[in-house]
Amino acid sequence: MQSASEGSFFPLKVFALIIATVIIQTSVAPYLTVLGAKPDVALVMVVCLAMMRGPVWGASVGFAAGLLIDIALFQTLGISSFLFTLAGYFSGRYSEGVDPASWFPPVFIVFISTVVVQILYTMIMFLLGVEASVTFVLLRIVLPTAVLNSLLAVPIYVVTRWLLGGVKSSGLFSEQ
Amino acid sequence: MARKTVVKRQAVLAALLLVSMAMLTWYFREPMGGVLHSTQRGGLRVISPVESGVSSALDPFHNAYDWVSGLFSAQSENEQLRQEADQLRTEVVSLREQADENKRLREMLGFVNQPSFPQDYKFVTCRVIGRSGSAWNATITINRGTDAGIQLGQTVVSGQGLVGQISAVTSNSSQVLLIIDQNSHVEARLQNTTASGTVMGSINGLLEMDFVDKEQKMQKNDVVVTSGEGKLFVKGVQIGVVDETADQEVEYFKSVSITPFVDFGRLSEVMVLLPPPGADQPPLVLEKTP
Repeated sequence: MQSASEGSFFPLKVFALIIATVIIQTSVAPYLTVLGAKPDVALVMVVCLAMMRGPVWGASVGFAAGLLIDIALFQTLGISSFLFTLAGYFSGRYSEGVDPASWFPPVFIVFISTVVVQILYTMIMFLLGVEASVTFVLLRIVLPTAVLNSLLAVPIYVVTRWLLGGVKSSGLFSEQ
Repeated sequence: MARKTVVKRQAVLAALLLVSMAMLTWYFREPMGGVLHSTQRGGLRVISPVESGVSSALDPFHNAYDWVSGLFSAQSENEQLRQEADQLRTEVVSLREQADENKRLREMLGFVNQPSFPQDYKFVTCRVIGRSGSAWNATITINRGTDAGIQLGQTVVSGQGLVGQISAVTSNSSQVLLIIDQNSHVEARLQNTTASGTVMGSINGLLEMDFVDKEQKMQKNDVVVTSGEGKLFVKGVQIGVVDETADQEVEYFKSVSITPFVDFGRLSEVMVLLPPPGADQPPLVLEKTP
């Protein structure tokens, strides 16, 4: 599941990173409001980790982080884990072959992932009967959140990479 | 890449998505006391002390950040004065923090001493330790739960007025559905007239009072309070003031914009109103919050 250089502590490191991110998401991120939007630190971390470790790690970490977010915010269980699993898998899948040293791919993929996750979330909310203006959702939630997340992409990518020891590629869980 | 690996990857993705979908469906179908809800409460019970600790640790940083950013342009060039200013600033931040807390607690005490405070009710003062991270849900997490006597459905207020209703509770923390949440609806009336209606939240954080009889007269700055109908909220708690009214001919009812008394972005302490022993448990605004 992980290369020898990752060591047996690697899953523990990932778990600790997920817990720390969820706590930051619930305790710190809500205060960093810009134009009414709040950053989704957990989603950014999932995408960054997926870019480093591939789609299966991305999907697994996305599932775990989403589940913890749903628990911590007492939201409907399954919504965030579903969306973060998709974001983690496809971010890992579509970042294969990109230059891991470049700053642009994390920013771009975080932006696209945020837009897609927010639109899917909006669709789920509409299906659940929530009423909201599409223009308001796009201009005041989706776009500001995507921009805010993109600004956080590079620092979170750098920190995640430093914590987890760079980009790896071996085995099902990290094959690129 | 080997086809086998691709298939395995897709199998992992499919499995995780299926589990998520199954949880989502199950969660919606089961009652509040069901397995998933109980598991979620158990998880929250573990997470909330950590959240509480982090929130307390970050409070001085929030205040210091606000204060320093406000004074940034006034920094002196003189090194000695700068050091002195830094020292004083630290003290001011600390004193200001205490003064703010005192002010909030005095406001709460003032609310408790008002004649409108419900008879026989007690209250529990709680700190806000978490907030919803998305615009879709307007909720806060507070640091007290069933151990302090808090139950589902109880009314939550601050020194300024109505905050919301307890929508989930564990032994050491609770979640409050704010009245600005789009799923919230509060039966309300104007303080000095017979006009009544339902105050509802929205995704943009504004309050609207709907279902108001078109014949009713109201003016800007009229005070809106809870009516107590439906027993969802304690009667007579201040909500806000009338901002403007929309009176369209095609509509049966008048729609009124309300400016809330509570600044929901800066809530740091709230009170949960505990009904007297033997009183009926209030119903929930919503059975489940998406």
